[in-house]
Amino acid sequence: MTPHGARAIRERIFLPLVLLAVAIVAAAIVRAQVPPPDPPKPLASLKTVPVPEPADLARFVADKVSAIQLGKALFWDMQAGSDGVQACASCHFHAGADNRRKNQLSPGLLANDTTFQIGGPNYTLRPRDFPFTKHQDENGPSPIVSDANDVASSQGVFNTSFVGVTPGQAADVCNGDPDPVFQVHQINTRRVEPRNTPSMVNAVFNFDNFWDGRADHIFNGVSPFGDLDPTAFVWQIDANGNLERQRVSIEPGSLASQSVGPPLSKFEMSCDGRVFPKLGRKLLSLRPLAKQFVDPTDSVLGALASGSGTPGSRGLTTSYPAMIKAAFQPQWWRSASMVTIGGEQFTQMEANFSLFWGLAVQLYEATLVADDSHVDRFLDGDAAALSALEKQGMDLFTGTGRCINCHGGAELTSASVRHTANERLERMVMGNGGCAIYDNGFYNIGVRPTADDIARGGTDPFGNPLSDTRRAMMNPPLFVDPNLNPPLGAVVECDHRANVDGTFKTPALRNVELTGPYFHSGGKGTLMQVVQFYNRGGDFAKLNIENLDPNIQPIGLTPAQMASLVAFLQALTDERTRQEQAPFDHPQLFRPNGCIGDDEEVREERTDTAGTGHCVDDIEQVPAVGAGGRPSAGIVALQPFLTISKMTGGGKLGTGNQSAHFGFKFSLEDDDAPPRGKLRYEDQGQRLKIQTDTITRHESTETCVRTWGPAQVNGDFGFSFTAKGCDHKQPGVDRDYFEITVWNSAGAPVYTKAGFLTGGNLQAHIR
Amino acid sequence: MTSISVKAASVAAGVVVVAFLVLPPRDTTLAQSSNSVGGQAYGAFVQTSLGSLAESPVATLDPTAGIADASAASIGVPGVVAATSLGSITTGVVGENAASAQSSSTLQTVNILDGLITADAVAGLASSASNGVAATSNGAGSQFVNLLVNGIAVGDSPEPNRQVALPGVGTVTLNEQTVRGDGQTASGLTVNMIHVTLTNALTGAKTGEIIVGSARSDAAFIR
Repeated sequence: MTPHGARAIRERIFLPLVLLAVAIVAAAIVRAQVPPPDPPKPLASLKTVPVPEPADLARFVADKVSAIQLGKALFWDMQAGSDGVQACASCHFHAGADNRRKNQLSPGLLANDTTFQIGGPNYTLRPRDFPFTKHQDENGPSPIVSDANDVASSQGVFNTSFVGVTPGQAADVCNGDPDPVFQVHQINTRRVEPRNTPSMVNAVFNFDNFWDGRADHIFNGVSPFGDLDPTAFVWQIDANGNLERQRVSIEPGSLASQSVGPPLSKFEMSCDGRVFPKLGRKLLSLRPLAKQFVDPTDSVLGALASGSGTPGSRGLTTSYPAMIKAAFQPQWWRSASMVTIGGEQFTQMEANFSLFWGLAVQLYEATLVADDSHVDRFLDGDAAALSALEKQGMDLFTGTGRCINCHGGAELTSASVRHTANERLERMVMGNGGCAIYDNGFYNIGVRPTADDIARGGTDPFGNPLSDTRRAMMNPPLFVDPNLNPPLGAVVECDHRANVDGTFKTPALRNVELTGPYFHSGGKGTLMQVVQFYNRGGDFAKLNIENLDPNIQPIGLTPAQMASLVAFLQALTDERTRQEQAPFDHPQLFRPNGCIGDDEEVREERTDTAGTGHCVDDIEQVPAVGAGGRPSAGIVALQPFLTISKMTGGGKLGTGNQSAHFGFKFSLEDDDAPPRGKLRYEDQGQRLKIQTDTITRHESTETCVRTWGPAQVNGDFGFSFTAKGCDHKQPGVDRDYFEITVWNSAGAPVYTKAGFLTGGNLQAHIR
Repeated sequence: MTSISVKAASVAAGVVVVAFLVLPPRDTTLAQSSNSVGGQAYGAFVQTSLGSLAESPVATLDPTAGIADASAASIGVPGVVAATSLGSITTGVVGENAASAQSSSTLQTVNILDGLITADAVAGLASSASNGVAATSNGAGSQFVNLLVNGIAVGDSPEPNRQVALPGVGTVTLNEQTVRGDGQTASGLTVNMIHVTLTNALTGAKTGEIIVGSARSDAAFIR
């Protein structure tokens, strides 16, 4: 061997070792410099958290009760949309979210992709479309076998340009414009937002709102963008009685900031180019909720319901000007002087309509607090509030599953007001080593490739970064976090790297059972699919490694453990939300469910706009419910996005002489069809045989179905039963659950048995 | 000799008479068509010189129906088998992503061969599932209550395929489990809680069989 050759070998051996050593030492130095992450905030009942409210509310609001009435009316009023159809509630009608399946797809618009992959604009989503990213083995790390960057979101308005309003008319004057994306054979369909609709229930606890947090915690009275919107002004009567243009900073005001976005969005509620004073001019001339029935027992609007709430009556007995006068301080609406905006004259009330809208809707949404889930009750001290399975799921949530690292605290999100207000920026050791600064509560978890949607990494309409981190890194900085310790610049390795691209606000989790589809892409149809996503370490972890939250790694949960985690998530449902009981009751709503037709053919309607026509809406009713909610109205409870349509199986409960055997079948052809099924059940020890071929009623989730009906007991008629089956994946032993209760003709319970299967299996099919 | 042994010997003598009885083959094949389920459960089957009993009460799965059941207050072939409160249930379904089937057979006060084998209760369960990636079956839940063979307690949950000799009669297999399938797309299982094979004491030839508490399940799913 030549000396040269020996040296080459030595270099080949030693150089990588030296580099590795340097890398290890560098990483160690970085870790030594980075303050350790805060320990996760422990879980707590949401009842322990005060509802955030602007400190200077009294400067604007004269009567909070009246403001809440105004906010609820505005939120649910279909006349607010340019088409006289789209209300805020049109996309927030189901536990604050949207469970429609037709005309809900958006192509990857934020990645400049206008091609639909799953189905066309008027497509109806099917269970088998989910998840949008499919893996060889959904439960663990494995190759992707199919992927679509379409987003399951919410349909808004047709593509139109704003012309004007006609006082007294609910629909604005608009021109129809060709839509190159949302159309079927050149007939426009409703446009669909590029991100899934989050719930506004408990959103009051979020520091910033929208997935990218652009709904600023400071409400400027006009737009979502807080103090960085230089065009935001409101008008106040000064000491001399003159109108004075003012800037306002109302904090915490993220819900108000959020609420003034959609009414002017050309995707969500508005013809392109509408301004808030014009929306005010229209609504101030209309009877509130004039198209909609309001239940006389509505917890907020009942006293104002028209015609004592008799069926057929519509709207409120008051007007929007009267509601504004009752709710707001007169210096914001009383002036007889006119204001000139964009060369056009408006009354003070019209000019300040965005201020009224924002604050009133915020105060209404602040009443939508779901804090009485089974988990809340358990955390309040009721040990029986959670089942063993749910408790096992909670242990995984706070332990092995690492869920609590982002979904901690009573609010179940690190994007909460309490968590974030004084900790806006944090340092984090990244998934690929090194460290970075990031916006607290916003994380890239590899749901989609970062380039598909940079989210928090984007900018506002004025070119300012949405991210506090990027604002802090500007020269001069647009934001300084006085609580960052050590201050920005002190940790050299971290403080030049912003981890904000592709990061999204961590959503809170109460009622999550009811708010699918999930994630900003809406690409997961069930909670199990969500848990599987985390268990395999995300879908695009490697691709997003530059910005990836280091918590996103394969977890290794077994199917049984994942089932218990899903059970825990389901236990986060506040039954008042599921039943739409106060404060979650609401007026009637008619909302579109796509076009009549399918993604191949639709019919055209050309009556309400000039220019390009659009398809004929398939309008569906969301019935009004009063304070007693759905039970009082005789309506079934809210269901998850995908629910069980079939369950078949059987097996054994108990052991030995105390065992019972059963066979169970349930099916539901569609929502309007009656449920069908059979039950054969025999308790050997009690020599009891229960059977039925009739199911009269059911309730289902993505894992369980409960049925009711008449039953025969040992051949005798006159009994009734309820049976609940839960499929927690194969094998069913010790995992699937079955319970049955039988009543005699007098309504007295005569038999009950429940438990996890000791033999057999239940198999559910969702739709 | 105990009284039970005396009874066994007398029964054996009777059985030996029909040494050349031709027995039909038992169907243990797995339904091979893709995305299918199958299931059957019955309380007892008897084919002996003392009498025969077709599978009864038998529930056979019609995959389109999803559930089948059958029951009987009692059955009996004098001197061979008697039982009460018999119930057979089988269910199965082929879904979008998986197929599964499960069957159960339950009986009480079981008496075989005039007291040679007795049990207060017998439950046979078979369960199969396939999602096209993994296909599995199990007999979980299969159990006896107070099982006695030749007067001796052998436990209520014997390991699968435990064989006990019945001197002068043949053998009994307890918790007999026969598995089928490739473990990936298809799986099936037959559980016979009590399977007595009667043999000619002189030649060893099979002369009859008794099956009590039978459950069969099959599931096949191809992605």
